[in-house]
Amino acid sequence: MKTLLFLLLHNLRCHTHHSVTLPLCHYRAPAVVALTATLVLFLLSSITTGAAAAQDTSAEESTFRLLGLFMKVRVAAFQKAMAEVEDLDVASVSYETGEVTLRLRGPFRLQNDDHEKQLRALNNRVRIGTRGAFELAPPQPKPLSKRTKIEIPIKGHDCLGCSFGAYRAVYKLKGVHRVTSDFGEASLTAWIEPKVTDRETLEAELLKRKVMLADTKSE
Amino acid sequence: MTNRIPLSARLCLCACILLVIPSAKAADFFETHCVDCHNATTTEGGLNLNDLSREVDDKALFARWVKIHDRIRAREMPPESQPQPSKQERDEAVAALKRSLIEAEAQLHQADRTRVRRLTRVEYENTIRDLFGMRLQLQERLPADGEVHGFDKNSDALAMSHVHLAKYVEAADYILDLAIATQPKAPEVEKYHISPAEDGGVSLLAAFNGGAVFLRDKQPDPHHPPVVEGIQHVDRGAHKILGMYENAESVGIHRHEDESFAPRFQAFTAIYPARYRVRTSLWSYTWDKGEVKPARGTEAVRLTMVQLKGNGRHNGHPSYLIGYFDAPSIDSQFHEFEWWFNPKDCLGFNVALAPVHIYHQYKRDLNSFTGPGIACDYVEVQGPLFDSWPPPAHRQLFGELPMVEFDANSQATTYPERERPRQKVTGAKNRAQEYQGNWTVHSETPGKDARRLLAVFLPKAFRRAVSDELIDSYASRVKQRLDAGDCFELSMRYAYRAALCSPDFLYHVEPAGQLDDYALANRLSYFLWNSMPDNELTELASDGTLRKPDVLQRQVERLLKNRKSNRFVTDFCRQWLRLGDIAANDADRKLYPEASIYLQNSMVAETEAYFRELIDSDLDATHLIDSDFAMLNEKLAVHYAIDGVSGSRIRKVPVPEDSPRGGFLTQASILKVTANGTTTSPVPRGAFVTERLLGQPVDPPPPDIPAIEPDVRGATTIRELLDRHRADPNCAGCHSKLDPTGFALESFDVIGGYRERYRTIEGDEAKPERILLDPHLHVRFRLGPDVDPSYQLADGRTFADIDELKKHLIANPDPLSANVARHLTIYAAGRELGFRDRDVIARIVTAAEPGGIRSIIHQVVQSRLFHTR
Repeated sequence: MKTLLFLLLHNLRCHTHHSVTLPLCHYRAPAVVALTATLVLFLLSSITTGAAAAQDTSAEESTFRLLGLFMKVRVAAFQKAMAEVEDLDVASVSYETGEVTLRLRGPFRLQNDDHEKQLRALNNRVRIGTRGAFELAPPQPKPLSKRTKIEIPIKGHDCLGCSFGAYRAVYKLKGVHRVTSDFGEASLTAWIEPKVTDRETLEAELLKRKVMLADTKSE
Repeated sequence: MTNRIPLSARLCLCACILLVIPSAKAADFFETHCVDCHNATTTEGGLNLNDLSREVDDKALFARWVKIHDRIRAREMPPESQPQPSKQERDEAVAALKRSLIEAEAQLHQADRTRVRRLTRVEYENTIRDLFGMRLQLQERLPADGEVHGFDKNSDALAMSHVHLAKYVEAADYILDLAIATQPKAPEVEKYHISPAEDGGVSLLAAFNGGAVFLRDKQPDPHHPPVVEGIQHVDRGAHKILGMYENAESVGIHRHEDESFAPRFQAFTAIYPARYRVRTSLWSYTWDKGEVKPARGTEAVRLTMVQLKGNGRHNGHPSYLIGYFDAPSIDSQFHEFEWWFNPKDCLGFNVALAPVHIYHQYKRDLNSFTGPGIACDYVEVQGPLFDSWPPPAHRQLFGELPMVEFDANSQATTYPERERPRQKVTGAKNRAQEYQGNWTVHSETPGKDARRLLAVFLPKAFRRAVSDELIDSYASRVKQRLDAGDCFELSMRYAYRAALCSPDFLYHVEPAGQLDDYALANRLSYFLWNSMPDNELTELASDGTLRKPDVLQRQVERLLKNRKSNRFVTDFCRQWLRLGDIAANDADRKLYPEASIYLQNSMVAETEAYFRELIDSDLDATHLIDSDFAMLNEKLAVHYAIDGVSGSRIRKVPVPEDSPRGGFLTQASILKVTANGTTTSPVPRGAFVTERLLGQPVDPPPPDIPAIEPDVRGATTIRELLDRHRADPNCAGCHSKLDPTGFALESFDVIGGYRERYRTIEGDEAKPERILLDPHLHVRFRLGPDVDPSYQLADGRTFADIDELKKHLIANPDPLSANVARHLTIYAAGRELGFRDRDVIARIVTAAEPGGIRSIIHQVVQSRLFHTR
């Protein structure tokens, strides 16, 4: 019952398996729809949770948005770094969606339905394990295909650090859902919510960080 | 000489002089040859013999008479223009005056022997290091010592104030904190691999400025490309997070050290005081517009020990030099050494390149820059290394007493407040090891153990036999603390701190008159090791055999062969030749772009190595002036235009026939400490050489004479300025002695480089030829007037240049030997020498024939001056 109340209050949605995500502040569905959906998803969730628990009582899986996955080569880097982290296994990483599914054990399993605490603990471990190169966030409310994709041509270095620097310039902007940045391909790609942000905003941020756009002159 | 003085005045004058000079013949000498010029009317040279008191009741008056004696003896007076006395007349007058002066000095300076003197800062630091076996840096924790006649060992310079006492207490606590073991097991040995790119300054240069570049397989690293025109790396934090700095294979640095760039390996900052093993791999290259090419020769890296303050952020932390390490062209050279780290110590790293175009000048574009670079593959620090546990410093204090764990909250006993070891420096990656708990030394019989330990420690710390009463008094302090509830460690610490702050430790305890055996052992040890005597010396003092001449000779040999004698070499040269002033001013960068810290440190190293060589090979004192060899590394060899020297190591190099080098006289260090950063002047250089190398005392300039201001524009030469100055006969007297050597040394600029023309920053004169200059230097100066090094000595001998002057100076080697003997004796005895000590110095020189420096050291130690206070 506590889980139900939690979900209702926080307007959360459940994923397949039994994974649960934390509040999505930008997701604003009408209250009735949300309530109905939540109830349905909760029932489904209860069923899948029970099935999973019957199969494996020692691990559970959760899916998150993986921040810091700005180039394809970073998938391997993430997996390598996480191999050293105890009580966490990487079940899968998708560069295309920018999501990771983690297999959780021991202290990382959901306890007392405190999802915020769970994500905080997980995120801490991921950040420490990857020395700040990656972090977790709640999954996307909508698939990327439903977002607006923009490509910003970039010139200059094909340096991993600089690609990450450009990524860091925009990935936390409001309305930005996913960013990839590959100076080797001389472009930065972002999936955005057009009502919230736009290309100009991103370009301005990049220029502020001294990232050189293909059609601008160097400073 | 005309007779212009009234008879009554002359009788009075004779009466005055006769009291000082009882010989009638001497009085006649003065009357005949002196008073006509030095009377109340004429007062030539500021001397009025009519007014000069016969009662020598102060040092200034005594010094005046000594000067009169010296000038007559040296045949400077009467001047050549006046009738000259016969040799017999002169000798008799000099002998009579000498007898009177010796007698007067005996009366005047009856108690003027070496006064009670404390340890200098250097002696204190060395003593603590030898006592505890820890290489602590303590000098900066104590107030600076004074200086008398250039020596800080002089008892007159070693005052004691309440500030000193407070600092000694602080220092004692610091020493005991580090000496006392606080855990039962030694910290485990760990190894840290550090890339220079981890330093914020280096990564900044590599990312934005082009002052550094990442290299992989001896080529620009494709993963972190060099900065080129208009394109810089973005977001250093992002690079750091990805580990690009710590995983950099090699880092090449193009920018020399300066005020705002002083890279250091802060990623390893020591927590535990101990020895650590340092390994590094270095090589050099020429960066040629984007390409890595072979270097012009072997470059060098300067490693320093940076003593971080606070949390280690920002620049400006104190540091000291560890050494220079070769970086050969393209091929990496591996270096390994062990060094003592104190808590918060980390390695500093500087490329010892001459200043090259900095990034502003090549517009942050490595594709347009050509210049030298030094690459560091890595630095590895391994430690802490202990031969035994507890370490020797702890065993010195507590022997083999066991350690036990204690309850810090105990009410019954007061235990030490243990600070948990932890890393306090930002950016350091090494962490404190697992805390082993609160441990302390335990004694089942504290009173007995305290006395036993003190009976071992106190004689060693006080450098002499210690009475039972004294040991008991310290033991009673321990008992007081034990009774008050302190644990054994705290109680003993109380006594040890008192011992380290006591006069017995802080002062040279020497009896008046003849030194006892322990005082002799101490004087010998502080002379040649600048530190406390070792067990062998103490044992010889204990059995009373040290003062035997043959034993003393063997001990001098033993001490000189020991590495600790380098402390003597360094400290003596620092004081005698003022090497401590080497960094007193920086050379003007426009006029002397080739000046660098590497060059400056090499200068000091050359002089010290040269003095070491004079001792080791027992070379005579003419080598002060000239020699057929020099002690050089590549940097100095290039500076001196001598070929065939590669690398940073100082070694013995033959001086070519046509080179003006050889001897202290033309060493860059001497030439630098006697110049300011812009111009040279024959006066200070002449004064330095006359006093320090030739051994002729120089009076300070009169207070009402303005200084000669050099013309920094280079329009007027210093010779023209001094010619005007010497037109005043009152100035001519001193300057006739000072200026000659100074003029000869005009052939050398402010950093000791040879020159035939002065440098100037104004005018349309010719640009310099670049033969002797680093081709990468940015030259902004012009060549000004020609240098004229010719002049004549006070005795009329002329010389055309420095080579001819050297020949004149070494023609009479005895004054040079006496000068060395005198300075060594002042250094050893800790006091200025008197008039009557001149005979002792003369005997030392005679006994040391043919006058090797090592022989002179032996004779100094055997002399009466060394054996008495």
